[in-house]
Amino acid sequence: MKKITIATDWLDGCSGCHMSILDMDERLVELIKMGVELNATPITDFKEPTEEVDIGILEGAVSTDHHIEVVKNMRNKCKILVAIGDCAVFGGIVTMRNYFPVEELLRRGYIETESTVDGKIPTSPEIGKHTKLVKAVNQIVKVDFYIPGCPPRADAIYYVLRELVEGRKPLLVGDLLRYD
Amino acid sequence: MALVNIKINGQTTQVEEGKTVLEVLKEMGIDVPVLCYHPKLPSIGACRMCVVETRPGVLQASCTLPVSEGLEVQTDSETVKKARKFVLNLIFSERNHYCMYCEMSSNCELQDLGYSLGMDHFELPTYMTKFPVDTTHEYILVDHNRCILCRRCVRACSEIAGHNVLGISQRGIDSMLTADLNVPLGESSCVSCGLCVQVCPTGALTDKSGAYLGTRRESELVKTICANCSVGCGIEVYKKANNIVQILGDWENPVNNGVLCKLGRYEPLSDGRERVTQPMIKKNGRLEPVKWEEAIDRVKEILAEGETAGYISASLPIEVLSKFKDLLGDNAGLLENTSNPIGNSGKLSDILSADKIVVIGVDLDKNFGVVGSFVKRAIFNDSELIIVDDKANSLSKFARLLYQMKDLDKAIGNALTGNNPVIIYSQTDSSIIDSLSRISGKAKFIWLAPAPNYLGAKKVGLNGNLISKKNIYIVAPYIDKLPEGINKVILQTSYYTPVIESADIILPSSIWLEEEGTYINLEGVEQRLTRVLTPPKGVRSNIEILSSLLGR
Repeated sequence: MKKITIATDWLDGCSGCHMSILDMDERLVELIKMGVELNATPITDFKEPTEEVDIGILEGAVSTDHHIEVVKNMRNKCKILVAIGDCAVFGGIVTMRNYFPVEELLRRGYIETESTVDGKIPTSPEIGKHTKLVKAVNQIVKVDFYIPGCPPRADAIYYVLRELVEGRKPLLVGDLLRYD
Repeated sequence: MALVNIKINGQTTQVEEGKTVLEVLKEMGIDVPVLCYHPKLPSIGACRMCVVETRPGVLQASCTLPVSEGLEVQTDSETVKKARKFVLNLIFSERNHYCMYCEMSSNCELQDLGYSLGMDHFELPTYMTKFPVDTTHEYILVDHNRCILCRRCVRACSEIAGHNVLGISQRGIDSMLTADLNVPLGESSCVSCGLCVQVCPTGALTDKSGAYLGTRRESELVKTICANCSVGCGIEVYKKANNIVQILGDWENPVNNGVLCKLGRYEPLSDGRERVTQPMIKKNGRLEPVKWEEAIDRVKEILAEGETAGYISASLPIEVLSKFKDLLGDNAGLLENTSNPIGNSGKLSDILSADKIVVIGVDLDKNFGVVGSFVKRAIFNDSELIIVDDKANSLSKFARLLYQMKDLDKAIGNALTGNNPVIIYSQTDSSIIDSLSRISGKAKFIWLAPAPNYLGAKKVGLNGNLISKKNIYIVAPYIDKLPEGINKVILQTSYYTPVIESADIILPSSIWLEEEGTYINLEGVEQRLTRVLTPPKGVRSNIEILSSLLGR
């Protein structure tokens, strides 16, 4: 049986799309029985693809310099890149911050929040620096397939993966194509 | 009508001249995506979603393209499909159309098109400008971020509702929906008819009162009539879990053709008045809750004495009015004590064809909004408005002539110089009736009857004559005044008001949205009121209460 390797990662998102991946439930087992192997995900030991994978899946919008690196790395390491969820596909709810300058965003978040006393904007180099504008993944690298939805239905993710595993081009129609 | 030959997707067909290509395609069952087009509004071809190919590479908006001899149309060519998807991408990129935090998601025509055209990502970056959200209006929320500038609201406001409040300011990418001369909607001349919300295809114009109660698509639709006034507009009520989510004007109802006023569209959703929910009898000077049986028996005892005068409000269905008459016979009368020997000789649609319109002593924008709509529409078709009023009148600014009440005859004299004069009045003071009687037959009269089912009450034979008896039995959803010096006061009512404290027996009854029956509107049109809501626990319908009093 041919092995099909998948790596997933999340950017500026809420992890809801990964919850939808888990929501495939027993169909995850079905995919694994068909030869799917999860190489790296945010919830496994390996966080980044250790080798070239067949399918890369990204959740979340591109919001920091770190995200840009993750996106580029995933693009380089995968044959097929799938953007899942409204944030990765369109920019989504995260783009709300595009209406404010980054300085105002950080000040509001870390200093001016009602429950904060003596707040401080973190400066650790381990934390990504916000880009001026939040972008969708396809504004950074080429994306091959999109699964919009907030979150996308597990049915839609399963359908797309199944089509890809079986060597077909997925096309979302009907209830599988949703923006909410 | 002359016929022309046109070719649609290679197929020759004969169609009526004067139609648009879109109308023909719709009749043929060919699916054409539309956004700015609305079947009840004049077409302007603003959005370009409905483009068709008329010659290789030539795209034209089918909603504004009239059919003509020899016209060839492709509706599904690659060029058409590509153009439509491109237009959709442009619209999505222009403002904020992220569905996941939009109240209208799953109730939005733009979203529907995204789905049906298979748009799974944006091909163009979004225009990241924050547009204002106007929350100043009592009922309508304007979110410019969701606006696609289709101008449906502008056309509805001017050409259908006649109010001319909304417009577009600036040009191109700076175009903005504007009220009056760029004032917040809440401070504008808006009369809260809400037709703009009814036609908005996105979440740009939404009803505040229905926010987060549910979407239209997940609600149950009940078609009924509004029983707030004697116009009797057709309404479509969307309800979920015995709550009203939204009220729309019924486009198919010939009385109002979709137009509503503030009372019809928003009053039922924002009605915060306290309801009476249990029968009560006065014991030791205080109203005490009792069982329905006890209250009914007590009322029966009082009625059996034959010393009770009954008054019922003409806001109730004919079936209720007639049952009340069965119960009390000649002792039954109407609360609305009016007599009008002239009445009505016209239809509301006559206003639109009138060349002179006289409005006597009534502020239509405030009290009969839909009639106000008819008048304003007529004015923009060059009808002359003459207002006779001693008080300030919202329609004064549209009037050609203003008269005081004492000069009523002068105003009428002027109106009679027209070919199709229409006279709109509500009061029945003898001075007005006398003046109008003299010109009977020379002008059409539209009498704004004082209660929703006033003509129905007349048909049943109820009159407003005062009947003097020892006891009194009043049936009315809302009571703000009670006569004095009465032995026993029986009150069948829906809302709590301080005056009900002085009644002796209270029978809690349902409001019009919980009732069903027949109404006759001011034009004499008989219409059916359908029950929308289930009454609160403890409340009974008027017909049920009267039936138990009749012992049936």
